[in-house]
Amino acid sequence: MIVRNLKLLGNNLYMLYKEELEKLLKLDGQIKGVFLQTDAKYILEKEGEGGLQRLEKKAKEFGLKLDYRTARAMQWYPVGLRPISLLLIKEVFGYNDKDIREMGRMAAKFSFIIKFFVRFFTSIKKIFEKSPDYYKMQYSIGKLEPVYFDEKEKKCILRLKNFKIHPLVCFYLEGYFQGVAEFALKGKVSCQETKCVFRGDEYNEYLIQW
Amino acid sequence: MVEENNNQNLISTEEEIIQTLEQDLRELETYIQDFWKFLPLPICYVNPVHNILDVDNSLVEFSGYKSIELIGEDVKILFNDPQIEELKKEIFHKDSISFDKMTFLTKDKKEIPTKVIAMARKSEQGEVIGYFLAIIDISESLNFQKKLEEEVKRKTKELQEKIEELEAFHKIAVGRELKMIELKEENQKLKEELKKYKS
Repeated sequence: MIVRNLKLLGNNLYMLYKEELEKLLKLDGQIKGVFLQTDAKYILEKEGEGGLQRLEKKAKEFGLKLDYRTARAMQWYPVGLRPISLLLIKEVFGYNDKDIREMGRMAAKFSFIIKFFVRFFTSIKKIFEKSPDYYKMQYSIGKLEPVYFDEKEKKCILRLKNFKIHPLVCFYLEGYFQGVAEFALKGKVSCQETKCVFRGDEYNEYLIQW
Repeated sequence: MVEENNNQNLISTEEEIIQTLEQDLRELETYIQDFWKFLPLPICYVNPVHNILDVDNSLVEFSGYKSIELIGEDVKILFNDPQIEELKKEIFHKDSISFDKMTFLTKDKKEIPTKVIAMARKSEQGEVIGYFLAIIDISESLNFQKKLEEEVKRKTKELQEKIEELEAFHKIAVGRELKMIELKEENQKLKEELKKYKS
């Protein structure tokens, strides 16, 4: 998990990334290893074994050790690895922001933590109410607040405070929250990031409708 | 100073407890994942709104779907059988139920006869929080049963033919016997008549 040998690579692209990766690795906070498992699973499903090997190779080129195959869901990792893994995936497979969002949506489906704490997933209201606890299980920084819920209007709002990691993570989380909501709902579900710290707002806000 | 030391001891104990719990969770995680990988029977876990939450490798192989295509979908995607609606209702009232014959539907629309067993999972408060579904392929045993029935039918037919042959033989044999008796009687009569003429 250390950026090293970057100078030796002598490639402009790597030099461009160097600064960003080092900055991300210095971010305060931790994340549970489940994100490495879900990334690996998604890539295996979409790109096959060869795809995962390409991703591992790319991480190695950057001097990064990302335990895609051996990560444990409940183990803590530096939070900077979340955007770093997404950046690498974007780089290797040419994914756009929409693809990263879809990856987040699918991550909810593959998450061991979701399956393990499945008792929350009996209704959308319960998921909404329990979302701060569930968030705390996965991130050591930031605070998720359930601010609005209306079963008749079929919408709810989640607010994420003190969480400024990377814009790519915002797309990812937008998909992730949708994926979690889809577990408890039938029919079309949508999630939209209505406020974002990278657009000058004080916090991130997500509107979920069904 | 003593109080400070006590507090430090408390903190380290708390940290130790957290570390132990996290270690336990990691081991539990490995156990669960290994168990799901090992299961030789197609199994899935479904939540109370009947969306599939987890599938094992055997179900992926059996259905032809990728796990990504099944997780989050309504469980009815796996069946072409009205009994699935009955299962969905019943599981909230019974701890476990089974259906001897339900038609499973693979991704390429192949229908497979299966036996389906469902077991409810409940919270401490007794609320159903999901259910496990085990799917047993019975196509081989049904084929065997069909073959067995065909064999019994064939043997019965053969037996029937033998009986008919025997009956025909019996009829012929009995007819011949009667004719012989008749001829003997006639012979006897003629002998008696011949005796009269001689005397």
